[in-house]
Amino acid sequence: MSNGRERWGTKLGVILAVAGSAVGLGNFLRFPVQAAKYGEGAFMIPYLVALVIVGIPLVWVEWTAGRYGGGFEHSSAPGIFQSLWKKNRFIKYFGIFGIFGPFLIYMYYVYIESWCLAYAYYSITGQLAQITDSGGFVEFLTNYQGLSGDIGAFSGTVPGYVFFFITFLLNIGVTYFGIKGGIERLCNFALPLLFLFGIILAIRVLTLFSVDNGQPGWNAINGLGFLWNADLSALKSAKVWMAAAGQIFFTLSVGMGVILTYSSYLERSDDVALSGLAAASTNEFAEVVVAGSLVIPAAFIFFGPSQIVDIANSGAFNLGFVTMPQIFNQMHLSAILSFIWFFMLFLAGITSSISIAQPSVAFLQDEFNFTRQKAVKIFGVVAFILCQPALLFIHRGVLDDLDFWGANFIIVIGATLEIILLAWVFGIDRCWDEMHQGCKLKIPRIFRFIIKYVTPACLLTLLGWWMITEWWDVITMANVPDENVPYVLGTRLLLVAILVILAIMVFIAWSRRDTEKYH
Amino acid sequence: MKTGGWTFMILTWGAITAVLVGCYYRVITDKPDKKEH
Repeated sequence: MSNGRERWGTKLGVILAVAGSAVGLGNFLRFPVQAAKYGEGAFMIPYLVALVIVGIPLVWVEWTAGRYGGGFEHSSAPGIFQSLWKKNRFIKYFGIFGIFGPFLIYMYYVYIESWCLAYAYYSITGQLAQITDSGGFVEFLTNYQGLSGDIGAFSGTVPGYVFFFITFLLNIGVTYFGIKGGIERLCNFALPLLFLFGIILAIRVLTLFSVDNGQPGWNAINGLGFLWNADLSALKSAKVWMAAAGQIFFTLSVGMGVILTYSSYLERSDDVALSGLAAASTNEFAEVVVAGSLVIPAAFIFFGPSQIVDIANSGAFNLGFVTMPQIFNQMHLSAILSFIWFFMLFLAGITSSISIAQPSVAFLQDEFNFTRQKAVKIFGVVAFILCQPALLFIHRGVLDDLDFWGANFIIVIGATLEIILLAWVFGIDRCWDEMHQGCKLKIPRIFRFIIKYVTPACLLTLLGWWMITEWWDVITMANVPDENVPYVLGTRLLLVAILVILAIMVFIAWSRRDTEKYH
Repeated sequence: MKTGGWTFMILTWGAITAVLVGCYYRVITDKPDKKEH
């Protein structure tokens, strides 16, 4: 083992970093939207079942696979997959998804993250406080995105571009300083601060007893009831189950290769069972306890039960950047509350975006022997260029298409590959032994059965469901407006080109490795 | 909120918080946090 290999500084550091990767914009924006979309009480039972039979097993499997691959000095999925199935020459190419997926998400995620930083700034300067209705917030967001010409302080895409550039540099800066000096150091303070902000906002919302809206039933307690009054009839809906499983994937950062990379920097003697559960429970606390007590009750108080579903159907961006600031504007200390909300989102975003950069950087370091600094510079230039389509053509559906492939499709493919590779090819006996290597927590034996049979079956069902219900419409762009088709098609061709380039890079890396081995 | 809703929420919050606190307690108290290299 190379002495120069990067390592985490502390056990707590790696847990906070993985938790930081998992706790992202999805916890505070996507979760409330999914939870509210299917009506009162429909979501939480499928969500919690999916957490236990799909989410937690995948977390343990990814931590185990990552640490195992790290023992062979691989920190990205192609190398890790190859170490798990040494006899198969092609498995490394399947590992490309573990670089491609996070990179694809990076192409738009940093831009959205920059909105949070910008809105935190506009909260403090009082610009958001001057807006009085939802139409005003929609207009503000549209102007910020540069979609409606020069209006007031805005000029085309300039402010949006400036905040994007600052956010991008911050991301690259943290990545540049490495696992211990950059990522771990940031997460050690950002995650506790994020929780502090979230808890402050949740307490503020839950103590809103007397909002003068003429609707005494629209209160925080009934807002919680919207989430928790379980509607057992909804359990018959396959759509709710699929949405719940999808949310679990997205929220725990499983299937995208990030946990593989982060856990590859562990020593073989380090625990993965307890650490994995600690990171997952941190994420669930942020999502179920904090976000669940904040966003849905707040929307319930100010808009009532019927409008919550409409708000959810209008999407996560509308919830985060239109509905929530509108709600804060009706409270005392609105500028401070609004700042806390957006800065909390920014912290959630940056601890996630630095994690999705790491698989690409690690791939360049490990397979091409680049120094971290050189790898980060190359990644920075390429990522900056490839972030531009989402930024410039957001109104043409480019961002939505990237989000569909990155945050929905690729992670399910990645997770299915991982679980089959670990439980069936590597073997459940070896997988179980490896999982308990150095463990500080004895995993209940029922999970052996779940990992081998239940989780793969759920994943294959999820994929099959997608193929039956959505595949054809997505491929044929049936729901894409005609004027957006060239842009969406261009995006897809770009993604195919990235996949091909990654495959060529894997081929070159292993060819060089083989050449060095025989000389 | 209905009684069933309260029960469901408290049980879920309790379970998540208990796992969270238990995990971090084990991680922090298990042995000195700083690893030797």
